[in-house]
Amino acid sequence: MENQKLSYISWAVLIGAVLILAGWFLTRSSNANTKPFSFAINDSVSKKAVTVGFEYPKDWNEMATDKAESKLGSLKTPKTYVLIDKQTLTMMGLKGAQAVVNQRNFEEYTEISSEDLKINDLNAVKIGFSYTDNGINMQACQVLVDLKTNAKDMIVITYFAPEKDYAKSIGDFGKLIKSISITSSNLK
Amino acid sequence: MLTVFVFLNRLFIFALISKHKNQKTMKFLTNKGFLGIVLLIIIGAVCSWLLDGTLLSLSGVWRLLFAIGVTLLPGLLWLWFFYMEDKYEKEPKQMLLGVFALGGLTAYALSKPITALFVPEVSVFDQNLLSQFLVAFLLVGMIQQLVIFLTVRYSIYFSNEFNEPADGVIYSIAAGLGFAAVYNFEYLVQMDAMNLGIVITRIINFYLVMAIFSGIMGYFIGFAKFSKAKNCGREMFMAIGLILAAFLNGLYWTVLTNVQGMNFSILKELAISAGSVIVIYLIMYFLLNRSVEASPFKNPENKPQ
Repeated sequence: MENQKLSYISWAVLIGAVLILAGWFLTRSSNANTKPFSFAINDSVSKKAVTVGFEYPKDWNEMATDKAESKLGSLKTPKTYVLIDKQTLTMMGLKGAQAVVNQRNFEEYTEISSEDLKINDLNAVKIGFSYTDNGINMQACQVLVDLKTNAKDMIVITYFAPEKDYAKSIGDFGKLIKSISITSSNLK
Repeated sequence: MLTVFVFLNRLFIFALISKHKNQKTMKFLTNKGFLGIVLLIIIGAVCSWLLDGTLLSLSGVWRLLFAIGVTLLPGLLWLWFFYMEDKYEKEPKQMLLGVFALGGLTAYALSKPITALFVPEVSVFDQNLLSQFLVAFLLVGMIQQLVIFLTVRYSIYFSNEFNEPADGVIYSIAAGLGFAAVYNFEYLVQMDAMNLGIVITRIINFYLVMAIFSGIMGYFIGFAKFSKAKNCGREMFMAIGLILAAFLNGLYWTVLTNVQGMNFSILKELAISAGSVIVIYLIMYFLLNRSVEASPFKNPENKPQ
């Protein structure tokens, strides 16, 4: 086949570049609707720090607790909040270890659903359960992530809401879980 | 293992063909590019099934060697399958490997910095389906495909070795595989501990989709180079290929992200990529077959000495 004259100037490249600029213009986004949250867990055996971070809605606030856990509460719906805690994995596995804690902490604890997940390539479990709090029917969704540290740490992130308000913010909780990023770095 | 696989595949296909007597189906199922896809999908499925949950923690030079081995092997294997498929005038191996390496270099030198510059850290809270698709198509997909396009358009495109329409597909796949190799390598070396089942399947998935999107674009590059249209017409044809590849790239990642959601499963991810790749390959096969049949070297007298 005879080789015809080939141009060094490519209009296709120009069209591609224009589309990238258009995409950039259309999708410029600020994270004005969310706030970042992160905490680190030091693994003294492997001399590594595991940092867990995620985003949560701006109309939620960090709330004080008297325990070694963090609490993010909704400003819109009373008694609706997310609790972030660290637990130690036992021989009973992710779900088994937490089931004992849940049964101890929640009145009329009833497990509704359970599902295995992978978060940042780590093993995780999602548990749905109901309980009562001072006579109010509550519902919760709990995500447990095995951090694979030598100290067998797992993080427990739980969304609590009165049964009637549960559906209002479960979507935001799903997004919060989706935004989780777990990274490890060497301790100095 | 490869010989056993090819033998079993042929056996299966002959059984199928004797039933249906369909020549076209046989031709498609026995072509080496398709065999390469099936082999990679099988490796991915076996790894995700047997190795899911197997943690590997490597450091220093061992991690580097593991990353090089695991990232290069599937890419070069598939490149070899496509090389075998180019039946009338095979491309020089050093040219294919050169374009593969160039694809890797441009991925590192162009795609990564441009992506970091333009792709916003879109919060999952702000993302609706349309904005997810726009980011995946116009930004990530377009940047990746444009870089692969530049690799082919400003290197091998002007070479005398690019002498038939099918070469567009072969060289674009080589560039796409080189590109995927660098992304896969970076994915592997940054991990302290890896779940082997997930990691190997993800590497294979990325190779499969990048090669197939680049192959579609390559068909348009090859067709444009040997068309009788003026330069402007050729460029338009190449632009269509580029946009189509970026569109498929964006569509694939949007579907994958939304089907997976919170209920992650590596087998589901593999099934989605395998399904997409086989459908796109089927289309590309017929396009490629047209290109190969249009080869000036189909007639042995025209073969270069």
